[in-house]
Amino acid sequence: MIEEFFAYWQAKGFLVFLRVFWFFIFFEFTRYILIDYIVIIYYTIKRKLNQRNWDLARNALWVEKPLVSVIVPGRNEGDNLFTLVRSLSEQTYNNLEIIVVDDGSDDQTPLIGRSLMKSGMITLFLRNEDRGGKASAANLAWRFAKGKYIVHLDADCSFHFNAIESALIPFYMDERIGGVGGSLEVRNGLKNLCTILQRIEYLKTISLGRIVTSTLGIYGIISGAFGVFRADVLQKVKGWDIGPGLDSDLTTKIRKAGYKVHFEPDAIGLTNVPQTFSKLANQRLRWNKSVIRFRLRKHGGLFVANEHFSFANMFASAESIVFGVIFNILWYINIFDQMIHYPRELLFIFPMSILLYMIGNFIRFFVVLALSHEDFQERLKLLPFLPLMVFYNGFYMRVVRTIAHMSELFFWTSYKDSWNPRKTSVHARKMNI
Amino acid sequence: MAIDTSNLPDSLKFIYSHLDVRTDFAGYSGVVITDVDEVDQIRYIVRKIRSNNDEKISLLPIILHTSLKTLPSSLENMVDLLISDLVSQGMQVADVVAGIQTAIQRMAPIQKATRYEDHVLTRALRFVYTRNRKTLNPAINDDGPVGYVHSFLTQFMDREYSLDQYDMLKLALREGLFTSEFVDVIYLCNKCHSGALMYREACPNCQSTHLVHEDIIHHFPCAYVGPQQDFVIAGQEQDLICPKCDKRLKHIGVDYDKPSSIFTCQKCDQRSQHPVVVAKCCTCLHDNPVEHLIKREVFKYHITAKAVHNAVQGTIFSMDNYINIPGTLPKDVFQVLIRQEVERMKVAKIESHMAAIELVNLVDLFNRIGPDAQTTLLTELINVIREGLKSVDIISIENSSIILLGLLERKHDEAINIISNLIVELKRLVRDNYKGFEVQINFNLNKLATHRDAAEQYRSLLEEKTKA
Repeated sequence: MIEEFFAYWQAKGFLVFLRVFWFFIFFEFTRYILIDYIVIIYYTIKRKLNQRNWDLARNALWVEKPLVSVIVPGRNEGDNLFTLVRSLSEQTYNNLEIIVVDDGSDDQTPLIGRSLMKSGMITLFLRNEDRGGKASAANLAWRFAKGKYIVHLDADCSFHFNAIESALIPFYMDERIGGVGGSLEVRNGLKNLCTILQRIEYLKTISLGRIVTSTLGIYGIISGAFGVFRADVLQKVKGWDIGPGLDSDLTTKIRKAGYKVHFEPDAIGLTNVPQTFSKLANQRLRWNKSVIRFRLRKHGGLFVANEHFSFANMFASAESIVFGVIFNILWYINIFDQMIHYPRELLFIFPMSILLYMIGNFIRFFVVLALSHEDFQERLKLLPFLPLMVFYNGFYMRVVRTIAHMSELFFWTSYKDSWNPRKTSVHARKMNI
Repeated sequence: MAIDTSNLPDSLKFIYSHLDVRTDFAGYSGVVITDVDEVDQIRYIVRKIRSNNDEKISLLPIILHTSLKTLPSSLENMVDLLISDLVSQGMQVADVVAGIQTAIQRMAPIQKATRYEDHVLTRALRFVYTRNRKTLNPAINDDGPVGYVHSFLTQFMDREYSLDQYDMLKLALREGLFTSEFVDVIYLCNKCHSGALMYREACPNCQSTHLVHEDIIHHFPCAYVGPQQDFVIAGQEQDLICPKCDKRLKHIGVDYDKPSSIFTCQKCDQRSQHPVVVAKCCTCLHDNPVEHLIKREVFKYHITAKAVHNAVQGTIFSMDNYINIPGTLPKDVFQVLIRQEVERMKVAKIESHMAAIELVNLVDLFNRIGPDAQTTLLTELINVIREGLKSVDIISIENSSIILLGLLERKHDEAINIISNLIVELKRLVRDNYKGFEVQINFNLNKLATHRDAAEQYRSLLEEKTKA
């Protein structure tokens, strides 16, 4: 059977192989393997050469030792606050003020927040009785922040002991940097299959993928779960606008204001991911809708040549549209192409397709392993699950992404998302933002 | 002024001013306070009589002849009759005096109490019994600091407004002398125990009450959130303009709302939504966070048959297990260990002793220093004893003036030496801490006998008179 399979493809020759798997070879392989490898090699060399600059920047940070405001907007996050605050109290960089905003929680959050403030573990606890949405909560915290840098965190995260210091250093290496994104890994990554697959995805997409986009200068999303911003830059872009997808929106606004954004892989935070595939689907529907809503609609002007035009900004926006939306469409075209032109060979095409993506996954994961330090052994344990990523990324995520794009494109469904209160979504819809 | 006393009993002592309390009361059957219209003076006189150590004086019926229309209820509870006319109400006075004197005569002499609380409570019970009072109501304390005062008790205390009254009443409740009925709750300053408090919102950082409150505004379209002041632009004060998107706010609930408010401390610039509530004590000016206030429940009390019995017999109630000083054993545990030691002696052929140390006049000191210092002193005395013993030796407190020791595996001479040294150290401790007070200490030392029951040996140790 296997011999017959390989004999078939040997007989068909390379050109037919290219004709059938054009999408994988020209797009997926080129973007996610070839370019990634080249960029990662470049990044590794550059990082080594830049070590002295890094050390100098670190010194400069400690000489100035500015106040840093950590803002934590959230709703019903009381149970996570103590873990978060403890990890913040262990940070090497300790000139911090911590501001927690409770966005109309209906659980024990007010009680916990107030007691944390009373015990001095957080600087300020603010509560809005009526939920206003994530952006308003972030803006409220930011309004009362006094720091030179603003660290925006999600309450369900915790952080490596040097995470904030590592995220601050890039600001002292390049004064044009307006925001730095931290790397996120999965804390509950061994809970079940759903979280294991997300852990692999985070390592590949968020850690590795963002090193690549940041090195190429087209890094487009400083994650809301762990992002650091210059307070003066936030002032210029006037803080957060209504979400969902407010983190990519803010990143785009910072880029449009003429600042660089940087991804710092050494600034590591851990986050909890959804533990069921249905909850995961809801989360990703929300994330993917924002590509259409913000990249295409709100910041569509980035593709227009005018006095503010910048190739880097255009590519940063294009990256998520091209690889998120257009690649998705091309994949469907490729599938239809195979079904129409090679209906009888599908029994050979489908296994080969799986094999190609599987090999691709392993090749990409080797980079993840190569960049691992103390986590190497832990990450090695994920290898047996890599074949499943073909179905996770190739089918499950693709379907979710397609639904998100279509529903947002044609039905503007993000404005009906209960993630935001209706009182704000109504205005966002009215203004098309 | 001449007073017509024709309708009054012969043996009444008349008091015309606070200076008269210095005179001798012996031989009188009652006291009439007359021509004193100052409440403070009346209170002074009544307290002087009630707090007299001689019960024949402290229980004397007190008749108040006054033109005052009203008296503070706390004071009213301390006198036995309030009259406006000595002539027309003479019979009434005679009845009251006779009733009280008859009750006093029914009572056996009061026994010597070893503890301040016992002393005060026993006297209070005897007062209540002689006045035939069944229900004891707390009185609103109109001129003192603790909110409510239980005059039937506090008139016998050194400090009328002391918080100790609540602890004593709790103790009496536990001993079954009263049943209680809830009346109220009071909160008192944790520094001076005053109930005169002013409640104010204050900054959680510096406790300043100089706070400025502001509404927080959320502008829906652009998600800007900030204090109302952010939305006020100079020259356009009548409008609210969003500082982020420059739009004029139109309609609360439609394009903006006020989800919360915030205050700014004008002293330390701290911002918070949660001011702390602090209670300033009007007496000592201490700022108490409300959670640090002392809370006491106020009850009215109904006396029980046990209380009547104790009052008539003049006996103090048991204080078993009340004293819980670190390093000591409860009496029952002490007795069990002594019993085990006796059993051990039967097989091990060892010599052990049991001793009682009596600090004879310590109760006088306790009456002077009050219950808090009493516990502190007892703790220090026990510490001194513990330091002079081996870790296997055991200590128990029989009552606040008798301390029991189990000196295990000690020869007689060795035990005598230990006790002698302890007495020297205990005397020194009291002398050093309470200048002018010399504690008198007696002791009794018995060798444990294997042929006698341990409980019997325990009893006889206490019954035998301790030696100076």
